[in-house]
Amino acid sequence: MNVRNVGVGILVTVAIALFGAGLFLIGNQHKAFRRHLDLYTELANVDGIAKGSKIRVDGMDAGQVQDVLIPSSPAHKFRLKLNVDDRLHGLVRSDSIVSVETEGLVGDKFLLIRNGSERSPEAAPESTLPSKEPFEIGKMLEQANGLLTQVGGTIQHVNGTITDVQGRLDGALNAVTTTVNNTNGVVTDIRHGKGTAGLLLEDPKTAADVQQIVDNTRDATGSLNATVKQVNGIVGDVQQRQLVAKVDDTLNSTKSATAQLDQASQQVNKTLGSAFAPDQYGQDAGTNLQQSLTSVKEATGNLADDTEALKHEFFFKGFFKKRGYDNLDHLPVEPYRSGKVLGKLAQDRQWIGASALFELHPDGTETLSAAGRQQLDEAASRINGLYDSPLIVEGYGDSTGSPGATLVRSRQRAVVVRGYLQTRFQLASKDTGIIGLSATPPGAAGRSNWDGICLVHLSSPK
Amino acid sequence: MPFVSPEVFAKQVVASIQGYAILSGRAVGNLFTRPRYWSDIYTQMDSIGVGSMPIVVLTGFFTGCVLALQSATSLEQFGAVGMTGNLVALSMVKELGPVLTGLMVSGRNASGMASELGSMKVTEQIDAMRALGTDPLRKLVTPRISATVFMLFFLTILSDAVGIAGGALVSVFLLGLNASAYFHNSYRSLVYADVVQGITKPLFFGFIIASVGCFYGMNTKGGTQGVGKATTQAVVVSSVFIIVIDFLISRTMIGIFGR
Repeated sequence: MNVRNVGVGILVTVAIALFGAGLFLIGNQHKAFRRHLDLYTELANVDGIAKGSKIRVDGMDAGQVQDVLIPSSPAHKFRLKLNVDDRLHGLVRSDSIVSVETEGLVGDKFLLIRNGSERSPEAAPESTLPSKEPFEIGKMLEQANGLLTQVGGTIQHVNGTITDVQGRLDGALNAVTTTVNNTNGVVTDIRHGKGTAGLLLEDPKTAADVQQIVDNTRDATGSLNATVKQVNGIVGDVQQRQLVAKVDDTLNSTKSATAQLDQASQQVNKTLGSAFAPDQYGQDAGTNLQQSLTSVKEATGNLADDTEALKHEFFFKGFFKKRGYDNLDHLPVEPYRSGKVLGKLAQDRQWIGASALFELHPDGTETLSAAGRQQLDEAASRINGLYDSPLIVEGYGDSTGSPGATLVRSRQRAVVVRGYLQTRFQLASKDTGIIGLSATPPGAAGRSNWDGICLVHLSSPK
Repeated sequence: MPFVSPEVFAKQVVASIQGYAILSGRAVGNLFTRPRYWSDIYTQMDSIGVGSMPIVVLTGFFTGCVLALQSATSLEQFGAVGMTGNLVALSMVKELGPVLTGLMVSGRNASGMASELGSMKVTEQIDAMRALGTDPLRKLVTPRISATVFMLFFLTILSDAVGIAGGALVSVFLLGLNASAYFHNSYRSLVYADVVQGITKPLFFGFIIASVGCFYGMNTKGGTQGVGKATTQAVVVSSVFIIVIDFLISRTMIGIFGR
């Protein structure tokens, strides 16, 4: 009787001990005997997570899902109550992200709580942690498609902007070209040291306007350049990243970059619009520049008149009389021919015929031939003190034509030859004069008729 | 075996179900009323529990060994031999431990009860007992049912434990796994729902074994030949019931716990 009871007792005791040990081990594994922290998170798609699913904090087992509250409408999300081991509370911050993960490729689903940032406070009990929805391939493709459409639209927008800018620049350049052609003479004077025009060009208002335009354009170009670099970086990043793991973040970054590209494009538009927009008087930048140069031209003309008047004033008259000439660019023909202009200056003449210098083109214009340039080089090299005193190029035309045509031709020949000599021998324009004398040289030249040019080197009388 | 008409067969089936339900109901009802035959209960516990322990332990142990061996061969193809402990523990606790223990106890004790009570029936000892004012169900059936249910619960726990231990033996000495990792994976894979499912089944199985064995014993007819027939039927029917009820309980538990 007693032996029988002892046997039953031992069996029952051993079984209870094993049962208790099993329960303890399982409970300990699932943190049943530890303090827990209740947290919440919300998911639109629980992706198989159910009551009792595991929770891990940074990969460490931390508890289980205590409850799943079903939303009342599609607009709301599933609310999950999380039972998290209190020992891991320090890792769970208010910005910790909760996501649904899978053990291995085909394992159970579990909730992963990523550790938050150091600056964020610990997640308060009963608080709701932010979540990241489970990854869905279909949704990702849809998002990528939308992004590509947006990028395509942006590129078209940029193309339109570039075309617009190109048109505006073409118009502006045409206006500038026209202005430059019109003011060629003025620019020549400016280049050769007639400083009043230079001073006028440095007018603070005009300079400030131009500088502002250049600065705005540079800023806009810099922004556009930076954005393009950023887009390039993002595209490279997208190509290098593992598509499945991080595509959400990449898509968000690309969206942001596209928005910035849009913004930069709009800024370029705005800046260029501002740069080329009419001013307060309704005139655009090209017209303003043209008007400024016209003013410069007028001012230069006025200055020339003033200077000419000064030459005839009592106090300056002696200087020009001593020098022997007033202005080499505007030598009066008849006084020159009669010898009144150069007065007592010694004249070293070198005659070169038109046939040796020029070649005639079908359109009636003449240019220096290779042999003509060689003739001029040799003639100039024969002049003693070429750089010390003025040189006058006398042009002569063929007397067989009309008087007017002969005069024009003679002047044109003188201009062509002077241009070559100034370029070839770096002669100062103030010391290089021209004059068209039709076909009749001055009386003292010893010739009654000539077709070509004559280089007259002036020097003080010995 | 004589052939009977379908009508007679159907009547026999319905009568059997009715007789089984009445016997089971009265036996369970006797648990809550006096007198209680504790001595008979202890005797049956010793006979059923301690007596069945060797076959249950051996069965459980070698089942665990075979399970580990077979599952490791399959898991090796996926490079997951380390998961052997998980598979053995889950299989033993949820399914094989309760079912094999139930079948073993059924083969040993259902037959014993049917033959013992059948012998008493054919020798009219049960009638004599009733004539002396003793309720045969309270004296013979209720102690067997309560003892079987109680002891099968603990036998199942023993079977689970030795099954996991057998799996560990094979895993460590034949498969070269780390013992600590094996046991860690074993209990790590289990949750309370698995344990509840594993210990709920023997309660039903124990009741089936004892009630079916007693039913066939109490309804034995035809002398010693009838005793043999009742013994065979008790083992067959209880074993089939165990399998069927196992399926129903498993389905119910999965519905409740989700695994």
